[in-house]
Amino acid sequence: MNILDGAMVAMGTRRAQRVLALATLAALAATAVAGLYVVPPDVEQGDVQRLMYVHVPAAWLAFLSFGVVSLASLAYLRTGRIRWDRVAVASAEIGVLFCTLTIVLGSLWGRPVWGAWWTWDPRLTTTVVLLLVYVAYLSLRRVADSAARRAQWSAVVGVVGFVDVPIVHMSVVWWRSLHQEATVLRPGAPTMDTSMLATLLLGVLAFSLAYTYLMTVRLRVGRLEDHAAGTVMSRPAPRAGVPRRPGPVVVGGTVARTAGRAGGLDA
Amino acid sequence: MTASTVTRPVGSATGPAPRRTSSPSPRLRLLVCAAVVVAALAWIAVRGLTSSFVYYLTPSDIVVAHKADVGQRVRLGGLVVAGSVSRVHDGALRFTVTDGRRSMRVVSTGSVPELFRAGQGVVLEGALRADHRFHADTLLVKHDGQYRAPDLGSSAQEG
Amino acid sequence: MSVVPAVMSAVAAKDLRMEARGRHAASSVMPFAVTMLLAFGFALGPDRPLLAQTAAGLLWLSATFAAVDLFHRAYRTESDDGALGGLLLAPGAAGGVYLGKAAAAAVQLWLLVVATGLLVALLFGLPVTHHPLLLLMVAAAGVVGLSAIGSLFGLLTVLGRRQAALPVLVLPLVSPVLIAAIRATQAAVSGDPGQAAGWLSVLAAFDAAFLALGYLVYGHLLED
Repeated sequence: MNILDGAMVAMGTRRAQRVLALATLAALAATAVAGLYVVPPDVEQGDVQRLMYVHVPAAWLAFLSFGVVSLASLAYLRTGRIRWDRVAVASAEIGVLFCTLTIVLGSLWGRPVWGAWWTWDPRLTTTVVLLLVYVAYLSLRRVADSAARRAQWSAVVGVVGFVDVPIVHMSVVWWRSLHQEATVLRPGAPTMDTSMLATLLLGVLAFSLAYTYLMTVRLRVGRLEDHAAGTVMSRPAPRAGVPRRPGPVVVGGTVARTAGRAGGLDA
Repeated sequence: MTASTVTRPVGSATGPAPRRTSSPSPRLRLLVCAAVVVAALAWIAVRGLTSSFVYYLTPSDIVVAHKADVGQRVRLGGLVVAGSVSRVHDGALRFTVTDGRRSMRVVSTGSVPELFRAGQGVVLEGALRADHRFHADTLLVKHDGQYRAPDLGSSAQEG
Repeated sequence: MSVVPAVMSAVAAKDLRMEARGRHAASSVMPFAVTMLLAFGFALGPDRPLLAQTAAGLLWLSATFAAVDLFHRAYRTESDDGALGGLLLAPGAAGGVYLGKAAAAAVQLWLLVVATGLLVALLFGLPVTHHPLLLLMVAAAGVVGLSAIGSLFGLLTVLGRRQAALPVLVLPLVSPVLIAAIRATQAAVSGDPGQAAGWLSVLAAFDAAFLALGYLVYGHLLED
């Protein structure tokens, strides 16, 4: 837990964020250049196949985000620390964004290749149900009328959603499949050219960096929001055991600055 | 809410995390419930792994085993036979699909994906009609998950 | 372990007694389901084979939407006079209250599904007479799954000032129950009891997972 705390504090500093932002931009630019110009087009699909370099990383990110939501929700229910709620909601927002992106990109790819914008394939159907669960998660957060209640409710949805997803998947697998087998995670050599695989992995790295960056920013906004609202409701001692430095709440944008001023009161 | 006073003791702000008091011990309750959830998921997964899923019927299924009645909406999967593809005046695409043993003539009226070509795996949605042709309104290409760069010079295929 | 079954049966008996005396659900949820079935009929047109093909799906869809209404109603009656707070005063009662609520909802929904099922058989030509016992079991397993999720999140419609959008929350989560129940019903009416039994066993596993999970987390919804 201490390592996690330390990592989260370290990631939250302005310098760390700037480094992360630059690394993310560089990786995304490299992916764009590699995916659009360096790698040859697929022999069968042609240029459309280049969508893979964003579609697959976006999907990976969506699943990573929702996985983090589930773990953070569990951690919140176990410990009652509001920090885990902030992690969960930050990850859920990013997950919803990238899950939508995954579906849109997949749709654009599927139309020329399969011949359909949408097909009732298990993986597609599960993904869209997953998206709906976390859209409901976010909408529920707007309904709750106290911060503690919001955290409890959404953690419950986070945990139930986690158990629901494999069930949804298995139940739709008993429909009929048209999605190809997992290409990278299949035992044996990936059935992909090395340059294509390298670009794909670069894309995954770039998107993971983007996730880390977005998480640090969103977590800081969450912290400042809580300071601004003057509600720090972790069930253990609000400020005693938590290594949160009161003064140097690093502030960036306008929102953060006003929030920081309000938060300065309890320093 | 009155409920809050029940489940959360007051004045615990500085103490350790309060334990919810309930008659079965919380740990036991957690273990039993988690075990039920895990067992249920395992049962679902086992059923999923042991059942053989049929995602589409093959021409043999229809011709030999008669698994689809005339007019019944099914999915038909197979490889497009080389040289069988033709487009007739009404815009419908005609071709033959095969599973290696039996083949079936298809009339497809839906849109045609870019990847459609002889030798490609396709899945068709439609029904067998009385003229012994499979009338499909949806034509989906089943991509094999192989990604290759165009080979320079030769047409050697790895993989 | 002793208090939970007692609380559960007391809550379930209370809910059912209230329904038997007041007939709130019967007077609004049932007409809602019937109206929906008629609307589906209008939307699909009088094509009899098409109606027969889609009947199982329509039956379960109308049951699901009606169920969402029922879950909301089941908690609304508790919160109107502050009875919910009293109900949850007993320590460790939360899980029992949840199971009781779910049991009462399941019994009402089962009756609803059986009644609308007969109506669907009449209106849409769903052949329910082949395996009536199997169909009744599928109905039971399906409504338990719906109730397990619905009774968990139905609570959220009465706790805050603003009402949670229950359908948005419940419908994606119950989609596996819906799929399994529809496929089991379809298999049973088309004379394939083996496949129906397979779906039924999966449906029972869904029910167990959702009930255990709901039992675990229900208390957390009450904390603030």
